[in-house]
Amino acid sequence: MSRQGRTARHHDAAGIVPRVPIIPMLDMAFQLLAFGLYCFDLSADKIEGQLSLSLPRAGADTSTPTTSEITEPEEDYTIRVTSDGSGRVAGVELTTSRAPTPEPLPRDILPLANDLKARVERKLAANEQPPKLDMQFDPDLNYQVVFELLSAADTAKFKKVSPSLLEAPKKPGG
Amino acid sequence: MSAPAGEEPEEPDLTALLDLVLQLVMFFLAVARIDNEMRDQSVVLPQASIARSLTKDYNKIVIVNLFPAPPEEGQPAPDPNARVGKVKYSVFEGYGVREYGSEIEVKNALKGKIEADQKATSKADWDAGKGRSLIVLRAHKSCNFKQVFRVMNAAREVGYLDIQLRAYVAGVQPR
Repeated sequence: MSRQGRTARHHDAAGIVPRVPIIPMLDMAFQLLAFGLYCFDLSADKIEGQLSLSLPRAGADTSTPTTSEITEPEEDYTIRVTSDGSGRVAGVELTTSRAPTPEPLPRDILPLANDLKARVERKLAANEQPPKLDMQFDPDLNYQVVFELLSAADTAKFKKVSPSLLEAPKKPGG
Repeated sequence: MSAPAGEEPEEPDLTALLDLVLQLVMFFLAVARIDNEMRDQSVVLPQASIARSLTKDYNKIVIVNLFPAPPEEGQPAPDPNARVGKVKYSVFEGYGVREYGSEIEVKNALKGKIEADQKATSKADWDAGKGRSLIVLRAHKSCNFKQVFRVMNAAREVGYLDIQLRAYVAGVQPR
């Protein structure tokens, strides 16, 4: 096409005002927006619950004891949870730094939560600090079960709840 | 009110409205994508009868998902309630998700993260236990405790002090 021809056609088109079809585009955009609002679950945070735990420090605790620790050491609790081999709970027992003889605890979640809560409340009533709790779980235990037990302990308001692997029972004289 | 004779009717300027709506569409598409990545669909969380609602008392977050390894080609999909044999991990932090096959890889990823946290925090704050990202562990309900504890141990060994576990709140079913 010659240059003269192109110029002539440009002049012909100069009178036409191009229009963008805004209204159908807006309709489509609203459809997309409605779809997005429907798919984006604004209540997603209500689906999940949380359980905050402390990770025990690696190695021995070398912190310097404070004066209060020297006069009256805090009582720490240890709960050992054993498995029946299929991932369910076989037994729950409690030992404390003052009472090393194992004491059986309820295996069901709510009675266990109430039991632990009562123990912490007794401590608080005696003007003592809430104890730290180390929960030792059998490696074979199902995570669903472990979570329930940890959340039962969490409701009791211990100073600190730390999960760990169940240590093998110490052999007498070993 | 009709337009006077001889004048063209006035039309509202819809271009600005269209811009706004498209911006909203883009926002929802982006947020929904991030939300889905954070909540890995292959993780079926435990159902908690007593668990606290989520709080937003953190600045930085690293989400570690722990889920059953997908079946190999030609193998049937495993029962979601069956006990998990081999597991896989995915770590979401910042703007992306990365999958890992072993807890050693997860540990290395967390190590890189805590080093970045330390660089971004003053020494006094760091020594006071501040500046660390919150580690959120979303583990599949059928894992055993050993598999979950490996991730906790990895986080502990690189220097994280706390961890948050997630579960479905009682009576609420995920979509």
